[in-house]
Amino acid sequence: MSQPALQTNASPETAKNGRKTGAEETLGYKLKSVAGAVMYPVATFTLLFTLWELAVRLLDVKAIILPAPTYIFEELFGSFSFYIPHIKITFYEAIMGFLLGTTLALIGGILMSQSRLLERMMLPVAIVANVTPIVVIAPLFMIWFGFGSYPKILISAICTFFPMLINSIVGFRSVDENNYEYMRSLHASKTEIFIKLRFPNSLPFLFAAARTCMSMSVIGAVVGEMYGSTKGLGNVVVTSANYLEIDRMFSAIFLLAAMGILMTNAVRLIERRVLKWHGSER
Amino acid sequence: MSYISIKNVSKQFVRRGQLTQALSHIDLEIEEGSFVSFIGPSGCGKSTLLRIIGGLTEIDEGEVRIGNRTPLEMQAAKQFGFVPQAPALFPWRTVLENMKLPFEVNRKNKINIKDQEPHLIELLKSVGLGDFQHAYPKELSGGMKQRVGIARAFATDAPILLMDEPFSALDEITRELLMLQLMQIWEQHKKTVIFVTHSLQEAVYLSDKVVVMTSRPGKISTIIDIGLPRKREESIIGTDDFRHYVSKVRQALRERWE
Amino acid sequence: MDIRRQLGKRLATGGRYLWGVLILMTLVSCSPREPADVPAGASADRPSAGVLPSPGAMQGKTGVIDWPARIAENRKAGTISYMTGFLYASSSPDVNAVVADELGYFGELGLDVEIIPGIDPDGMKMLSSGQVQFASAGSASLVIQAVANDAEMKGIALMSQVGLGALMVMADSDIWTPRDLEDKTVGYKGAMPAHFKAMFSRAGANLSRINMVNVGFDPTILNTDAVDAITVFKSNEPFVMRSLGYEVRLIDPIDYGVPTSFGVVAGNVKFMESHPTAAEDFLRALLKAHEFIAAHPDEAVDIMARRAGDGYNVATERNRLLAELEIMDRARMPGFGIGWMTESHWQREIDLLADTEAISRSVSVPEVMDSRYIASLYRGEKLIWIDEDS
Repeated sequence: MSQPALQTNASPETAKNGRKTGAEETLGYKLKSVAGAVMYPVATFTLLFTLWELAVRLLDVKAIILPAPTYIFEELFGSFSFYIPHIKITFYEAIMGFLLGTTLALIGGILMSQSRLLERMMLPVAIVANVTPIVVIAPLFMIWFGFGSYPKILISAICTFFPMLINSIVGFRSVDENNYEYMRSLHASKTEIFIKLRFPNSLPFLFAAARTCMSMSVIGAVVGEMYGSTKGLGNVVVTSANYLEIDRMFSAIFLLAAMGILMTNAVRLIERRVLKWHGSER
Repeated sequence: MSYISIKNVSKQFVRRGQLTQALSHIDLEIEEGSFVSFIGPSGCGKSTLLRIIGGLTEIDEGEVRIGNRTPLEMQAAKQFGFVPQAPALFPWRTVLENMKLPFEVNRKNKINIKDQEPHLIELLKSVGLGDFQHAYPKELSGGMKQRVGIARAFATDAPILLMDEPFSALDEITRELLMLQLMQIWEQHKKTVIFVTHSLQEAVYLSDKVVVMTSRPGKISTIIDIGLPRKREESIIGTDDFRHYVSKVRQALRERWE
Repeated sequence: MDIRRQLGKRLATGGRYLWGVLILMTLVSCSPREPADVPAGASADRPSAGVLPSPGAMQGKTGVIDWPARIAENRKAGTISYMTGFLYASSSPDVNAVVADELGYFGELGLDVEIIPGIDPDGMKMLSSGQVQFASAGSASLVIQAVANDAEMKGIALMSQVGLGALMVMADSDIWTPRDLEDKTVGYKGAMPAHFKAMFSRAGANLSRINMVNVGFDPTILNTDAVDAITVFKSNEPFVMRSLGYEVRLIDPIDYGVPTSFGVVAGNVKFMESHPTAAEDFLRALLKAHEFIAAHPDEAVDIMARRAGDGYNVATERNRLLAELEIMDRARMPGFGIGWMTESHWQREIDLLADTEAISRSVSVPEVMDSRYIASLYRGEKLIWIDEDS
């Protein structure tokens, strides 16, 4: 029996093991692509810093108003060992807050996507939590939970919670109609439908939220550290601001920015692997 | 076991506050191992009837039996192979993993899924996609995805296949090719197939019986026996006999408007 | 092959872009930055030479002041903005500025003054950028730290040569000296002020064994187990705690050789050098207001309450004012008026900051203060005011 031939753009070579073969797998290619990816942001930031430096010098801007990047880097690299314990603490608080917030959001998402009643009851509470400025909550948490990392992790979790919750509800609900019917035709149970269909379907939504939530969790940790902390980059920012140690303040801010960027990119790397099947990944 | 008996079945839908009589007093008998098409204008209830048989939609009146079991019982026993209009492939599973899906869901006997692989690969080969086992759906064209869907319907050896306009989202050339391929596989496995379509050519080429339906309310207007010889070669398309049946179906469809 | 060539091309152009930027960056950062200019020859006593009018220039040879000429000159200075150090708290010199405004002292001297409520770290920044001409700072340390960051400002008066800061503990606490703070927790707001760290080390305490936590503005946290001591202002939190029924005790930095200061008036250098008489007279009006405040503290608090609007706690602010007046009076140098300052006051503050590593670069006294303005305002302990100079 002859098989009718169909013209497509997919070829057995590219689809053989789902990956590209040949020249594209060599180490040289991989190194070049990493370099290519890193190069542009590095160049952009370097350009930005150069313009900043020029502006400060040409316009004679005082350090107390806006310090020059060279002044900041002098302090940052000169006393780098000072920052290390602070970086560790803030990073720890942000990551734990992210994990806690994400876990709670997923649980909330599972419950709310299964029951409209639960959604109607719980969502307004979540919205209130989201809208309340964390700057107001932070001192309260310090009083309730003390000076350790715990209140900071909670605040960081609160910042993560809402975007992740919304995205998980949408992700769990917006399954393809045909896929859903197919599962029903096999008499799949609700649990099976959730595990095999709804949850994998939600992953692109969850990762999209994760990228934002990573930055939010860092912000949350920083705000938390403004009250009741002895260590952490947020603490450094506030203390140095009060001491008018502008170079130290900006160094801490730069470190926070770098932390946010690295964490977000880490999410993207994981996303690329986990979502390699997804159409949006280019 | 696949003797499908539909007696006096009615179904209503409420859409935007309006009551629509999707199906009204349907009576139909389908023999085991036969290939039956439902054809008719939009809203005639053909897709609804297919879903009723598959236990995906409840009836308001009447009785449906398959053998001596209800549709839901058949569904729970995984007796259906469902092919919806758009390919129901999970994008996060490779082609082969999608083929395994019906085994993973609602597991009856402790089947070792790994053991099924050679059989599944054979099915893929029979639709011309043997080399694509590890491809993701995003790498496939619409026609290729639907071919996987059809292969998958045969995977669990389910006795009844329910196909809801499986080719309607494809271009004409692909439709023809898939139509021929479907016939080839069916010849090998001989399941009971309920096939919903808009295409007269498909209905005539594929079926033993064509059930012509009308809308508002949904009813069966005629059932036409296709007396063409099995097995259906490609060359049969365009012969006088073939065209005779096509015009018979066309006539039955047009009757409504007179 | 094709892909590699394309990639190679892209890397090449991108790489050139990157190299260009890096070279530019290196060139830019290699040119040395000038340190802040130190005016030549300016010191606490001698007026500086130069084309600009110097303070005291309006005094004729016999020492008689030409008031109308001064007032005319003052009007030329335009609107003078002053930022307070803690909103409308009745603290010196902020209360002085508001009272001077209300009683028309600025007006009498031909000065058009705008008072902006603020917080002193912000005041330092505004002063530095020239958005305000004068501001108050809670301590000389703040001015010094600002100058260390190239701010072009100088302290021109010091309302008290003794600071307001103290450590507060519950009355039944077993903490009596800074040494007792080892392995305990001290709460602060904002940042741990340098003079406390100095107090701890001068008392022989091991700083690394003292747990310092930022706790915000609520003093009642002292009553919880969370902290054992908190930093406070002598004129503020003790009163608040006592009115809430808590008994507290203070540990005073003075007892450990750290007197510090409070109530600094700081001015923008450019402005002061182009309008020295306005600077002098602005200060003059503030000091004149002190006489009123000392004599009529309740009225002064009323004036502040009216200016502040809703939410003004009269009892707390009255206590603050009275406490500060007492400290200022005790701390005043005999033979000199309120606000007087010397090089040694500022040098000891600079040394304190250097010892506790709280400033980013070393500064000299002439960079951070200028006492020429206040020098011309007093005859002994008497403030020179309009038509009183006989």
